[in-house]
Amino acid sequence: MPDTTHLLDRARRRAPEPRFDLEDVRRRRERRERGRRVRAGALGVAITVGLLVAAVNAVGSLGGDPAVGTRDGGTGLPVATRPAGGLTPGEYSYQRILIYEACPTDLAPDSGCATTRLRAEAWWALDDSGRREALENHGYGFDDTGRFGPGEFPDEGDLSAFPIDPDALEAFLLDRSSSDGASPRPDVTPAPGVPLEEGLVWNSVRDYLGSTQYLNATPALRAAMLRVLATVPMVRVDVRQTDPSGRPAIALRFRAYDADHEVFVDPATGDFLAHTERYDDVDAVWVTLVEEAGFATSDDTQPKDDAHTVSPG
Amino acid sequence: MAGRVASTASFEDLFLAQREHLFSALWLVTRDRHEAEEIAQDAFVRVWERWERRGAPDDPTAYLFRTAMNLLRNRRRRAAVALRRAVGHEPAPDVLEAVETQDAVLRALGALTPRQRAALVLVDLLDLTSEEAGRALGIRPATVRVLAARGRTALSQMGERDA
Repeated sequence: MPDTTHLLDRARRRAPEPRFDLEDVRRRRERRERGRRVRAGALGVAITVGLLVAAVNAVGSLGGDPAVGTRDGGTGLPVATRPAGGLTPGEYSYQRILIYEACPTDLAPDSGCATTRLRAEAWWALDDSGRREALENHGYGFDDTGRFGPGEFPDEGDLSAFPIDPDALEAFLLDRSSSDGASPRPDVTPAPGVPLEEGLVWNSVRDYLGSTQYLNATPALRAAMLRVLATVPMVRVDVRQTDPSGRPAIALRFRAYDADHEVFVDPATGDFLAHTERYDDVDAVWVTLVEEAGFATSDDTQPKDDAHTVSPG
Repeated sequence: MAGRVASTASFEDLFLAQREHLFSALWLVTRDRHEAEEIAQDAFVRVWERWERRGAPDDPTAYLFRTAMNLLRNRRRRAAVALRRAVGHEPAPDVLEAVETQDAVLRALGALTPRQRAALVLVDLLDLTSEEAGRALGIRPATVRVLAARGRTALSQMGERDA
């Protein structure tokens, strides 16, 4: 089989000469700056109007019953009956996660589907020590396993500055996501007619929910992120649902970036249960399932009883 | 990634080193010269602005390509048009049409979805990890691997026939 890199490189050599130089880029930049100055004036007016509308909507929503029925988008989560507490020194935040691709039965064997499946366990402590183990791993790229000393746990960033108050967290996430922020996100609208900011909220929380890159996200932080997500207008909140493994759940449903998403929340603790995503141009459905989560007393035990924020099914 | 530029270099150095590299990678992904030029120029503008406000990124080349892929995602409607072209509802654009008839690899690339092309170019040509490519495209690393695997299969089959 020919080397793909070689084939791509050969194809790239067919590319025509680009017809722009540094001066073109300079002019483009000047146009963009002029446009920005003009829009800044208009934006001040729009923000004022938006705040007034939001205030009117907030007054109108007082007195509703948040725990019953199906609501329209962005109305928030019901209050958790047993919300996750904070992680204390000496404790471990424990998660056992299953990530897999559910393929249609008629898919060609060489499609690449069904080759990926990961079941992993992680224990993380406040001093950034802990343990990661892969119980099953077929092609997922979960390599850093074993025990890690203080400050050595393989995550992609310190999350200790993330607020767990949902309002503060939303502002924090949006600030991080901006083009000048610590974690810039694509300036792309998530779906036709849906504002850019709603996509930024989803893009900025998805990394921390069932992600192998941020197994240092605590139950309280995950719950706060889900509360933020549930207030996004594009997100429909359906109570009394079940997640892909049949557990009682609140479902957050929305369409973003050419995929239909379902995010499932534990109704008692508010913690993250599962996420499914169906892309338009990929036949398979991606499923991320938290099989068990909570607070463990050591890095070789699972949470006991009430220390669970997600109970094993 | 070819011609990586150090963070101590100037924006002008980055532009000179990466202009053709970025454009040709985008040309492969978009199959549209005009669109590739637009995205490349916009990406350079964004990186330039960032450079002056906050200094050079740690890895300017990686930052440039990530910015370009973000901008590419921002043009989903155009990607949909490209997809229709790929299945023959619209004629292929400008220069591509001429060279496509001579090059089975380009024809094979044209038959891929925009995201498959993007995943393949990012991983196999630009040498990004699936994690880096996933962040650039806003999808999971495993999805990048699936998309690239499908693209690789199609490309290799066509390449064998063309060899």
